[in-house]
Amino acid sequence: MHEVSIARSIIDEVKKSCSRKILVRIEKINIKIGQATCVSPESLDKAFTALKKDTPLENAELNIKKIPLEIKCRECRKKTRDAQWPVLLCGSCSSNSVDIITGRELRIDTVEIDDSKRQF
Amino acid sequence: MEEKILKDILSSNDRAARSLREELTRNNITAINLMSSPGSGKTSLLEKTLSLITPDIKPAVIQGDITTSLDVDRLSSFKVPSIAINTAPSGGECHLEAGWINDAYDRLDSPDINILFIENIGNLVCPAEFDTGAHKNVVLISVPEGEDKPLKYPLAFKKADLMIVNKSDLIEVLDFNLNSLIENAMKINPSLKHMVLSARTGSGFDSWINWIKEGMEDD
Repeated sequence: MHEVSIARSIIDEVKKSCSRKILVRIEKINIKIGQATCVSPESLDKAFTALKKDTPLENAELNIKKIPLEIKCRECRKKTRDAQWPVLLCGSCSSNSVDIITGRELRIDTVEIDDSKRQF
Repeated sequence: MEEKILKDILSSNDRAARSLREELTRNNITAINLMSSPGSGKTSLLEKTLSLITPDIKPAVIQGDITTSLDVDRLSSFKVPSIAINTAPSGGECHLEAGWINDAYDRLDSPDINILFIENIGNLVCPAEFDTGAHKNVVLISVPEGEDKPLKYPLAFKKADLMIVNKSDLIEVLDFNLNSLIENAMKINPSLKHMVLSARTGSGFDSWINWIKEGMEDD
């Protein structure tokens, strides 16, 4: 259950990035989770829901976008989209000498803020 | 209104890991992170290693467990600096993070070491996501666990520099297919090195001790 640590890190990083006035108006935190990570979106959502209580982010929801795995072959230089994890093979030449381009993301992308609660 | 954050969720851990690695390198210490399922033999590997090392290796050990200091107690007769990190008080996390290791390293207060073994918490999933600050990652698998483990827990094998196959004395008893295990591991990480040893009999430890020494020269 390292999703608890990840949820805690999300709260910490968002708190570091936004002023308190903004934090309390955040409705949605847009997260990108790569397919080749050991993170369960369901567990992460539950952990976040539990941890956000009594923080300025208690009105925020997580919006998790799964990022498919894309690899690039070191032999033929071609890219393969939607590669199958975990045995990574080039879709063109079947080489196993490949680099992951996308699919390892654990990233906070944006936050969506409720403008109607804006205070002047 | 939408505001960009564009931050890696684990950026704090990654920063802590980088900074610890730099500090260890400055102090001429090579850190080795050991990852495995519970019961693969991480502590047995360390016990045997500590009994065999030559005076040029000056080790310290940081051991992670959810609770108890049983593993540290097992190493106490070797008189090497060692410290346990228990995660139960902070929520029972099943992995070690770089910041906790950094705190433990500070508490070790052992200037005269050149190898730091980090025994991660027995778990093949969570530790793989968190950079510990170690220079080398080692994944252990023991013969009774079966040949398909790399396919089931790929990230730990993908991140590792070395796979140690422990309990080699059971290969024949359990009709274990070593080639199949190595083949599965290479499917996940084509550049993964491997060693076959037994922490019970000491077989295969020459290669392991040499690998440790070579790592000290690299860093």
